[in-house]
Amino acid sequence: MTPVHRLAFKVSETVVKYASPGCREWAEGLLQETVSIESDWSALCWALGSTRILLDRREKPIGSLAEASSMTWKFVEEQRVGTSQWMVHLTLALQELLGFIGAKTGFQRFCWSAAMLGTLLVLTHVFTERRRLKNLLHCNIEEENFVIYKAELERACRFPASAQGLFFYFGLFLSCCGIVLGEAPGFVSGLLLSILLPGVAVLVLHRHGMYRRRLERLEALLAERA
Amino acid sequence: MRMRSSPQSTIVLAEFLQHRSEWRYGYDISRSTGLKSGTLYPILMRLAERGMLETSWETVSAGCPPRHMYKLTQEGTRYARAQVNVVSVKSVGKPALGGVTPV
Repeated sequence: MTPVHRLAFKVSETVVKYASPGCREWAEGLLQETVSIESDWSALCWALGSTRILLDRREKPIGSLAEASSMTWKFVEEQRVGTSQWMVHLTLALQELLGFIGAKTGFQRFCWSAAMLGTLLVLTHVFTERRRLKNLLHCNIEEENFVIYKAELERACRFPASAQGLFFYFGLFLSCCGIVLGEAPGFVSGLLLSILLPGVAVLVLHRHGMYRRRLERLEALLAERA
Repeated sequence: MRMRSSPQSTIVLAEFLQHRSEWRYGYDISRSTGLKSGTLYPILMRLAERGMLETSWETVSAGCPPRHMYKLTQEGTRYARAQVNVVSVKSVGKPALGGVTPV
């Protein structure tokens, strides 16, 4: 193997090592192609192109409907546990109230009011969702578990564009901006918001992508069964 | 759930349609379509996730590591024909996809 080809192989091996579980098999496929490519520079271009897979963080796809069924209640429970964050939001609401009371300027009072409104919107969603999931966990359902899993995934995928989702994210946005601007108006708040908001957006998009892929995989399994 | 269709994914689907019953290697598809590995493999992964693409490992010869191969499923073939037909209808007066005709 020439030095260029060896480098290509090393790059591909690194991709396999750091690929996410859902991408590992594909990364191995890319690695074997690197070995099979005759031209050294083509192999190196191929290997460098394969590093794109490292940006794709995905879990191992659902293998069967039985596996999907076993994941259903774990998913619902995870969602329910996620709503335990109401304690955090309640604490934030108290902080925002104190901030409003201690505000020195009209602008700060406005920011803290916006933050309180935002937190109220978030808390409304969190409590509604918590009650819904608790009821789901306790009611006696006759359908097969993966039907429930599919319904929950569809709901999770629709959420960002739904009215409930828009209220939730708008509330989150108001809360973040209100707190940051109320605490430290000016350059610092601008800097904090420019890091915080894109960070939250990336997390939301990643989670939405994960749910969308699970749903697509489940639909493919259902289509195979049909 | 509908798959997001892009010009690159349509090119890949058309390429698979041209050799419908054959297993294809990733690098061969890349050379035929002109797509780089970083563009091609996310498309293949999306197709496989939706049950439109079958994957398999094949040992080419003794002593050589197995290669990953791909072939459209029945569902994938149906989807590919529909996608390629849509592109053919849209591009009036010029050959679709550089002269590739759906099978």
